[in-house]
Parts: sequence; C-alpha cells; structure tokens
Amino acid sequence: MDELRIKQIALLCAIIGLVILAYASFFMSGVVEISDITIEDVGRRMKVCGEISFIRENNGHVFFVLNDGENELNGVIFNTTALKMNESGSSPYNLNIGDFICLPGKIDEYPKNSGEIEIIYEGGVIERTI
Amino acid sequence: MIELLLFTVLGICLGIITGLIPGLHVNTIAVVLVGLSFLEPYYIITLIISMAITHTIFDYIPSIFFGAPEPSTALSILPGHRMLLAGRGIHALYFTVVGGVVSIFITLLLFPLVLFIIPFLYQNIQFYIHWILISIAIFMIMIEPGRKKLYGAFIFGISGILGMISLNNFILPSHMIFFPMFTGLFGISTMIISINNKTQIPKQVTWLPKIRTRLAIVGSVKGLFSGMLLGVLPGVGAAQATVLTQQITRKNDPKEFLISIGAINTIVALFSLVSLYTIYRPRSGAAVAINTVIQSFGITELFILLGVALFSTGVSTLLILKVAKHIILVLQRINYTKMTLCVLIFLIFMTAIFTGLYGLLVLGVSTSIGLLAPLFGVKRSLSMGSLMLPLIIFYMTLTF
Repeated sequence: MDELRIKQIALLCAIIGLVILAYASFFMSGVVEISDITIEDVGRRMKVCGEISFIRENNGHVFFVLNDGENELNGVIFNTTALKMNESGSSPYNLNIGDFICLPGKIDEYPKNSGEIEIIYEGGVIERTI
Repeated sequence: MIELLLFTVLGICLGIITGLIPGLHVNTIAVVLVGLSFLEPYYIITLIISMAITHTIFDYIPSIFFGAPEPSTALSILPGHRMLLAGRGIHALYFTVVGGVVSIFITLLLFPLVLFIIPFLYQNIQFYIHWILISIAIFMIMIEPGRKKLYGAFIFGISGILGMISLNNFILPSHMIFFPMFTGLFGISTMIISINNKTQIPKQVTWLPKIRTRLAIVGSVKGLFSGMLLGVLPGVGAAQATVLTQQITRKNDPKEFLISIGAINTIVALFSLVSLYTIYRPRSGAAVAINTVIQSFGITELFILLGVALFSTGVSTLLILKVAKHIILVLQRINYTKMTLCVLIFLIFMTAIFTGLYGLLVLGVSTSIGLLAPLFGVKRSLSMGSLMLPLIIFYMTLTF
C-alpha cells in the first residue's frame, strides 16, 4: 500500500460518506403539513408539527393525536423506541396534551387497507414547545 | 444536504484545531456547541461528529512531533519519538493515519455485523473486563527481564495509586484530570529527558513508505477489535484499548503497533457514538453532548453519523498527508531543544488554564512518576497502571 493507494481509500471514504449524507438528508426533509399527507406517502419518512390533542400510554407504547388547527394525525411511539428514549434520559411519557411538537417519523397505514394514516416515531429530534 | 456538508467541513476545521492544540479537548468544545440553541439540532450533531473524528486523525501530530499526548495517543509517543529520532517522524504519523482510514473503511464493510456485535459485547464482556485487564497487567510486568519485574510492578502500582487518587476527587471531573496526568506521565517526562540530553532532531525523510497490504489490514483489524471490545464499556476507552493492542501486536514491529493505535483512536470515537444507537448509552463526552440535543438516536441519525464519519476521515487523511511534509520541513529548521522547552511551558500553561492548581499538582506528581520508568530501565507503558488499576477495582466492585 503506497501513499497513492491510501489517498484513494481516503477519497473513496469521502465519496461514500457524501452519498450516505445525501441519503440521510433525504429523510431530513422539511416540515410537511398534516393536510398534505396522503395514503401515497405510506412508507415515507416525514416531519410533522402540531399540538398534542390526545395522549395515552398502553403497555409502554405511547399513542397520541397531533392537531394543526384544521387536521389531525394519529401518532405512535412504540415501547422499544420509548425505552430507548428513557435510557437516553428523555422520556416520551413526559409529553402532555397541549404541547406543541414537531417530530420526524414514518408514515404508515393502520389498520391495514383502512385508508387511515398515522406517523410512527422511530427516533430523531422532537422539537417541543410547551 | 448543503447545510450538512457545510457543518461537516466546519467540524473538520474545529477538529484540526482541537487535535493540534494539546489540552484542548473535543468534549470541552462539544459542551459549547450544545449551547448553540439557534442552530438546528442536526447541524450541532454534524459539527460534533466531524470534530470528534477529525480530532483523532490530527492529535498524533503533537503527540509524535512534540511529545504532547492525550490518553489515547500517550503510547504512540514511545515508538513515535524513537522514529522521530531516527529521522522517520513522518513515517510514524503516516502509520497512525493509515490505521485510522483503513479501519474506518473496514468498519464500513462490516457495519451491519458491527451493529449486532456491539450489544453482544456490551452485555457479555463487562463482567470479565477486570480479568482481561489483570491478565494484561501481569503480562506487562512479567515480560520485563529479571529484577526489573519488581521495578515494573512498582511503577504499575504507584501509577495506579496516582490514578485512583486523581480520578476519585471532587475537585475536577475525570475527563479533565486525564490531561495533566498523561501530559506528566508520558509528555513532560519525555521532554525533560530530551532537554537534558540536548536531543536534536536528525535530518528527517519526507517520503512516505510503502506498507504491505497485509500489515495495514492486520494492524487495523487488531485496532478495530480492541476498540470495539473496549470502546463501548463504561470507563474504558482508547487508552485501555492501546494497552490491549500493545500486547497483541508483534513486539519489535512499531509499524503494526502505530497502525493499530491509529485505528483504535478513530474507532473508539466512532463506536462511542454508534453506542447511542446500539445500546442507547453515550460512551464519550461528544456522545453525551449529542444525547442532550436529540431524544432518541434513530436510523436517520445513524446514517448521518456514518456519512459524516466517513467524509471527515477521508478529508482529514488527505489534509494531514498534505501538511505532514511541511511540518517536517519546519521542524528540521528549528532548534528542537528550544522548541521542546516552549511546548513544555505551553503545556504547563494549558494545565493551569484548564485544570488550575489541582491540575498542576497532578502534573507535577505524574511527571515524577513518568521519569521513574526510564530511570529504572523498564517500559514506560507500565505507567498505564494509572488507568488500569482504577478500572480493575471499578469492575471488580461491579461484579462482587
């Protein structure tokens, strides 16, 4: 391995890093209005904002409803993610009705083939304004 | 995307600064960055990751050329300084850089496997870590010839007592005490001997050697293994991993050792952040800082981490290969004894600034202990007892 080969590996690392960054930034897209989310978006990752109008904990899962004044979107933080949040010192159980939050998540259809959509929080920054 | 790239480049610049200035630690800057609440959390994360990774590539410059180490680079002074005095300082730096970039590349190839192995290691190794450390300590002492075994045990023990007193105090947090302790044990003690011997730097080569691919891969994998084994456990980090690596690399091959510790430094920085995803716990000051701006480290954050780490390593490697030759040329023109004296004064000044009177006291005691090993004619790595003994006791109390 000579200097040129090491430089080639370094360059390859930088290029692969750039590609991965571009892929990651695709998931970090800007905030989407609740009204703009449709069944076509199932499987996509998006960031939505709204006021928590309902929140309930069941078996460690956290179910909530986000309201942006005109539309509502169901959301869920599964207990595995909630556990991770607890471990890192930011419990989802501290979220309350009336909190205004922006959170990233994956759009899912639940129950299947019902046409009802929800957002599943799987990690990332939850911006919160009480 | 452009913003992420911009903050990655900014992080690289910060990492170069923290890497080049002894005593200026990534953790110190990370705490300041977390306070920049007007920035998007993702930008802060990007800044911290790229700074932490770049730091591990550049911090070998002060360690090898000026004898000013950090815990993770302390053992690199020994073969690094020897190579510098043999006119091959740039080779020592090159080996650590090769270790860093090759190990990151191997990690990329093995990444899915790594995500599985880390939680497994975390759950199973922590109850045996003190036995691993005790075995290493006994091995380090027993390889000394004849009576020197006794001197070796003494150096290990007295360094261990220093570590226990310094790390279990209420005056300074442990990550801040590392700077005066390691600067004294490995840095200033080496400088005093250099000044006393009126060491002059011989003419340095500026060409870079060809490394056998097998050596680069084996050295990097050994570093990767040690870094992965010890990088995710509480209280254990790059410094302990270098001691472990020293035992599993061929004794008379400084090349393989330098490649391995170059790998460890970068790998531990990376895995201490990956642990946010795999075991949900921060394992470094930088990871703690990231944890305060993000609620849960998800798959998107993992991709950002991997992307930023790869990009930062690649760019830092290209940069350091560019500047290393210039540093060598400058180093040859100046009086090394005078420069060592200046670095020594600078280190005392930085110790006073960052750690105050208590840090200066630790620096003085560590320097005295650091001088004992060469005076007794035993390996200076035995001074790593300063970290190993407190950890052995910590993990023993955790088990019983």
